[in-house]
Amino acid sequence: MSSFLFQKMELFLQQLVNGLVIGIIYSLVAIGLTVIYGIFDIINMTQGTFFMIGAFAAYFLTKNLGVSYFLSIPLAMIITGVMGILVERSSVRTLRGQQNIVFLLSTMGLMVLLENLALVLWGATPRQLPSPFAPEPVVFLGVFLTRQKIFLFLCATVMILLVKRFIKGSRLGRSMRAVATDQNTAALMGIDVNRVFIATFGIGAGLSAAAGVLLGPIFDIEPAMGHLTLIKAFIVVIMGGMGNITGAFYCGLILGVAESMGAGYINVDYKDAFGLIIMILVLLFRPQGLLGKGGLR
Amino acid sequence: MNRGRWLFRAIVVIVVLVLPLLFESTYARHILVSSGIFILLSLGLNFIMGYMGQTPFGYPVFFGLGAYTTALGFTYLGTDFWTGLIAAPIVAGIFGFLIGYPSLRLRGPYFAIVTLAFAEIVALILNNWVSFTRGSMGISGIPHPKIIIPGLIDFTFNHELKWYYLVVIICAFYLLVNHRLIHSYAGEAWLAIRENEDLAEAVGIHTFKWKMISFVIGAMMGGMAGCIYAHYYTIASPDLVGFYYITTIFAMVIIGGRGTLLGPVLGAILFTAVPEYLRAAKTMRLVIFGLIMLLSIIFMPQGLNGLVNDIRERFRRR
Amino acid sequence: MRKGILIWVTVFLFTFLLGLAAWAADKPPVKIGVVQPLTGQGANVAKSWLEGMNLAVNMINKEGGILGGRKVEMVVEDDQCIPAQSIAATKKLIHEDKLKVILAAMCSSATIADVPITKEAGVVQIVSLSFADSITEMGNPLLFRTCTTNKILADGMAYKIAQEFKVKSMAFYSINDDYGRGLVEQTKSIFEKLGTPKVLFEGFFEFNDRDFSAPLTKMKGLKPEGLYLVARFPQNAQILNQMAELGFKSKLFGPINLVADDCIGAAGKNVEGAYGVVNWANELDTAGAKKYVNAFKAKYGKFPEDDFSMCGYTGTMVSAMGIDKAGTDQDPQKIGEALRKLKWDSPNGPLSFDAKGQGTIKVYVVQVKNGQRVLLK
Repeated sequence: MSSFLFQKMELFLQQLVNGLVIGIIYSLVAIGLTVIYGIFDIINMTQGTFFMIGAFAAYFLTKNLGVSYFLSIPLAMIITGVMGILVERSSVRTLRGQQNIVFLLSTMGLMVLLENLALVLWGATPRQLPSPFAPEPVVFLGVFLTRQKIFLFLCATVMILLVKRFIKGSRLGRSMRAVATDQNTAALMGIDVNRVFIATFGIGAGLSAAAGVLLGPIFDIEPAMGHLTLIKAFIVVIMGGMGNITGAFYCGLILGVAESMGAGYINVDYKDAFGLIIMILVLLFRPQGLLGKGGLR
Repeated sequence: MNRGRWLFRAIVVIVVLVLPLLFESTYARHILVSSGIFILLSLGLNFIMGYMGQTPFGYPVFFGLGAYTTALGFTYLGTDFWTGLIAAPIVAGIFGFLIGYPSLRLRGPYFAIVTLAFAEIVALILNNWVSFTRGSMGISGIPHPKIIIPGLIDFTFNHELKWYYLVVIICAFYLLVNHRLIHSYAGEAWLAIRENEDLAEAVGIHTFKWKMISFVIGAMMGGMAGCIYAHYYTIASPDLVGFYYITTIFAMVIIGGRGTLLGPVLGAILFTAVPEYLRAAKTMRLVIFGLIMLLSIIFMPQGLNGLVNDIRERFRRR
Repeated sequence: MRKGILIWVTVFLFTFLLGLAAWAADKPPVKIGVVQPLTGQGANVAKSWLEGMNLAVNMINKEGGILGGRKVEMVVEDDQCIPAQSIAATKKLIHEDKLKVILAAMCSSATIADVPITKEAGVVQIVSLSFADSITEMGNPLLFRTCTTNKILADGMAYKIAQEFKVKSMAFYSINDDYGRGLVEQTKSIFEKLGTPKVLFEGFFEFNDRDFSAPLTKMKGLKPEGLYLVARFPQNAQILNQMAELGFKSKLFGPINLVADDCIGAAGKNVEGAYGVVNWANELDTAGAKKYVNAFKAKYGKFPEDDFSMCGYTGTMVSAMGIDKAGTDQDPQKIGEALRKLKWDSPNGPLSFDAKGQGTIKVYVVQVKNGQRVLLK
């Protein structure tokens, strides 16, 4: 009897851990999205594309230039960050002052453009981003984990804490929060708003890229990989509150676990529906997010 | 002035009626019919987006629902095209109400995402409720519409040419309905809401009610288009609610020019005809889509329709 | 005078021969239509299939072509495994290219959508790679299937699983389309008829799913003795690798996709020991099989990596033979009659068609041992 309970416990823990691993990826991408929203008040549809570009950047760095996987993470982040800044320069800045919908559509156009460009350049066949770790699973309390997944979780957590610290502590971070609260007043007070914009998109793109590189070795990479991640990131941002970094962090994990549990115990086929339903409910009953709204925090 | 306009319109009508006869090839006619179906969809989306000013990302859900209504009706009840033509917009309208009611309380991007979420859920159900909808395999073998009066007429729409005229008639119907609605009292209300929703509310316009009405009508238009699609292509599949249609229809409306009647028509024709002739560059097609969409939003916010208007202006000034 | 006549005769003869050569070279090729997913889902399968097709075309043309020296030329269209696109591609081949024999398609769902089109147009449709049983039940008198069906595949291994391998419990995990669902249905019904093995789980995934950890974890908890996996590459390899990461071990069973070279390459030892039900094995030694495999090795420098190249080879050969025997490439009825009477030593075994157009197909069971497929008796 106790062995039966033990097995049930193991199963539960396994599903939980699976959920946390994918959840922190959701958090990473969502934080990028929420930071951009907090400052620009726009929804960046290219967030998923940054995720994909980061993964491919790492792929080419490791494959063609022989860069180590660990080094490829910051490099991919920088490359994608630069791309993010280019996006900001080209389609966001030129449209300054227009309605939110316009940005939604312009970033959407950009997403279609970039994703299909990737498809043309690299083809739809999934590629493998090799992991530097051995594939043999590590077993702990009956839960099976690979070293890559453990690394992913630790690395992502560290990044999130760093970002939080940066926004709270550093000068640029405080400028960002000021701009998020009130752009015009911040400009009047002498804050270099342009620098803030650059930093925002750079961070947003960079985080997404990091998520892509971390997740790359686990699931194969392909041009369309940003799609689903984008939708999940949306869900997390809405759950956590637009502009709320802590909210994005916790809600990312919550979503990951909810999906895992839902798939494991309720219905496997409708796994993606759980997040969507949660999001709809949140939007209807608590649109400011489960953890409250406002500014950038 | 007036005579000139009527002459122009007469020419357009004649061209439209004669067009398919100029092209011998079935393939070219197929493109014309496809454009027609997309015109219907673009007009439907434009109704919500251009006139009411809301961006429902999940709009293709009505397209898919319309197609499945007639497809399922055929599979389980043996209904035909003509029943579907009435049933599809009704079902789409009901879903328009169900989806619109919670969604329209939200503004701008939230509204966009929530409609997308509903669309994704419907897509998931279509894909997974296999015993009812046949899942991702879709429903095939949907019959072509027939007109049968025993002893008098036995007419089947099995040829692209016949379909063309059917689609033209329905397009004309859509344009007429659109025109009447926009130039009515309701149209004024929608315009007010689009320009400044809070002000409209303050002035006494019951914005929620009008948004709902516009949304449901747009949904019904999408539903009818879905029914036509199903009987022309003879299949209905969950990808009708998918990413490809979302981006394509949006591109058509935006680049064609939202908030006008001509715009979506131009956009639909452009985006169906041109890519088909670029068959070899199938993946490049979407790259070009995205690029044009982006450029048009930045540089040409009025879309093709705006361009046409500019040209007309120049003409007039001479 | 005689010299002049000699010169004229030589010139005349020369011109005549030149004209003859030109006329022979001018013979228009016999065109056959093909619809395959060159891009999108199943592109790997199509790549293999095309290798088989090209092999057949080379062979036919080298041996003098058909219909009195005319070369065979294939007109290939891409349907991306999407039914609506398959319909468009088929329509184009029928109406634009005016072809009377079409090889369509690969994904069962796409093929099913194409059948009403070919039926209405009255052209010959050769199905060489779609396994859904319903295809031959759709009532198209000019449809011929040169490949296996889900039922044949299911029969081929299900009894072995229950009676010879004596597996006690089974989980099913499959792609959500006509192929996967059909094969699972057929296999499951045999298990239910025999009363063993017990079906513990039946789950389906979409072709763009990547994260299988939740359902795999669930299956692991149920501890099935066997897992019947119906998935195309690369998903099958991804699933197998994720299974290993979760410590989920089970006897593996599946159709050819599971034990094809691409899956073995990507999954490595995670697919070791898996059983596959197939239509081709490199060890087959009938005359037809040897002709195929030797020609394949000569042209490509490797053994066939899966069943699919054979399907392309067989489909193309059968189309060409049908046209040749009918004496025309313009009359679908005549071609259909010729095919109904066809008897051919195909690489799989002796091939002929029944009243519904279904070909006689043999199945074999192989096992992956040391990264190679080994034919079991």
